[in-house]
Amino acid sequence: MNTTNTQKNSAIPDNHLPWDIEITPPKFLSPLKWNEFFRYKNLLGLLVYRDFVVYYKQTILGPLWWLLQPVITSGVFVIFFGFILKVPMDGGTPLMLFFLSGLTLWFYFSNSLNQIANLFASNGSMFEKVYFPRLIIPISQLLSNLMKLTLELIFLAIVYTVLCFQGAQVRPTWWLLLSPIIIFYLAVLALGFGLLFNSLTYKYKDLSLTLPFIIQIGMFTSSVIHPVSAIPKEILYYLYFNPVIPAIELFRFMLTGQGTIYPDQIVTGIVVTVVLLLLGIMSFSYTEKRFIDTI
Amino acid sequence: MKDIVIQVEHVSKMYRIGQLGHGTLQKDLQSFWARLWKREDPNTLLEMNGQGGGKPGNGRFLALDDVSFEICRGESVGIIGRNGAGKSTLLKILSRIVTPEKGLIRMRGRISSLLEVGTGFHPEQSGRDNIYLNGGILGMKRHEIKRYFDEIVEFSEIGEFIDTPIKRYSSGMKIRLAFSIAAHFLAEIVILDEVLAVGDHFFQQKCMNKMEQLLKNEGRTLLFVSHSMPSVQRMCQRGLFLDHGHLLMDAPINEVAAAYHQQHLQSNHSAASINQQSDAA
Repeated sequence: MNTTNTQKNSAIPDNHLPWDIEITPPKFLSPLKWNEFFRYKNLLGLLVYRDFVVYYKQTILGPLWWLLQPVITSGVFVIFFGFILKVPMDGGTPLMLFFLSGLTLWFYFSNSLNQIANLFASNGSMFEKVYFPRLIIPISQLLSNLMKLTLELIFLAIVYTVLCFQGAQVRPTWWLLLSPIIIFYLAVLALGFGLLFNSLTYKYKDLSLTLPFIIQIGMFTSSVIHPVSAIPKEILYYLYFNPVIPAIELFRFMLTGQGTIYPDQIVTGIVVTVVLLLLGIMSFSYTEKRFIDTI
Repeated sequence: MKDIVIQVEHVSKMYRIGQLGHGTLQKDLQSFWARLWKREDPNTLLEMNGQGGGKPGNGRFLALDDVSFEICRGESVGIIGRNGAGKSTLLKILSRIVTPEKGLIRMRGRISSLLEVGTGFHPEQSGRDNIYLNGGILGMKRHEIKRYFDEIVEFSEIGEFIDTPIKRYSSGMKIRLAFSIAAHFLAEIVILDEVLAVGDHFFQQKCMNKMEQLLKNEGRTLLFVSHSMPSVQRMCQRGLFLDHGHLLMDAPINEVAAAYHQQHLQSNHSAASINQQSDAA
């Protein structure tokens, strides 16, 4: 073990072992290292657990807090849109069921989007100090939100059952078995859009401040609080630009058998989502190597 | 045969001085537009000239300038130099926090990089949960964390508070816990940035002994940055002397330390010309 002055000499024959880590200047797009991601799956589990538990630490109601966001919002909407503004609804869907189903999915999407779109801003201090695959953080957020969503869906099922016993005119369809696909679709959409938004905005605070508005406008334009059938014919085309609409309307259709589905709208939604995911991951792989220098 | 675990070839890193980016969207868009049409960028920062060397030329400076070295298995190497010499930049590049502008680095084996201890601690979670989470962030698997759990608790002297949320810990307890976690999860290559300066004097001594034991007995490779020459000389056999981004010297630690003091003395004579904080010592 001598400590002689090892002059730069790249001609040294490589040892028997291959190199484990290579650090090079960032290329425009470097491929994501999925195998490395796999090595950190322990961390993924720990982060999901942390996000889920920390939210309601030191509260009396505990995990019940997860339910309150959609429940309270649904209650407010039932009063405002049902009794005061009287938005036209499809058939016999009870208002509470209508709002709760839409908002449950919407909050899954918007909460995930909000977290992922602020990825660098909220985790920068950690990213500055230690290396791990950065994508672990957004994926863990999607998963811990999924646990929360599961609780909310159980609650939704309870509300549904009660409403049916009270004589509501709706019954679930067999399509409901496909609803995990919708949740997966929303997760992918939140990931793609969130990563893209994060990459575009971490440098410019002006842009990142637009996020709350985007989410608020999104809630009103994603058929969360009105059925697609209530949209005037003249502006129906805007459905094609918002990939959240088909997800929520389809979910309601599976749940109640009522809703207006345009197949071409589903196709455009999927195309938009896939494009956003690709753009999101590409922009992320570009910025993750550079943002520490600019933050 | 030399068993090289870290190979650094011609690594350079450049930073812009002052504003990072143009800061505003408007100027960035202007530059982008100019690039798109191949016009001259109105906000251009002239390209770096080869000599750089920390001189604030053209709004940029080279934090590292063509640095090359190799480290073999089991070596412990101290990196010394004044503030702004590029030490931390080098460690950050080796830790994969930032990327170099030029050059190539190759490494063998797992790396523990302790630029800070306790990264990712969550105040609401108990010491126990934080040990697991922090271990996970350091890249450890669950069974590895389990195996060392009791040792970590004992070493940190946290004792019965292990299930208390760490926001109730004193700052000393937090640091002791953080350091104990880091010290027990060391991989084959260890990168240390002054984190030994934690806790009270007794705990510092304990940390130093623990580190030495870990390094000597288990044949680990160490890269160590500190301004405290005694601890560098105690921990390391070899020294790298960085100055303004250049690797001035790569020699046994005592020679490097002598050269460093020499530079320090000289700079004291011409103190007026040096615009540096006085904490180079």
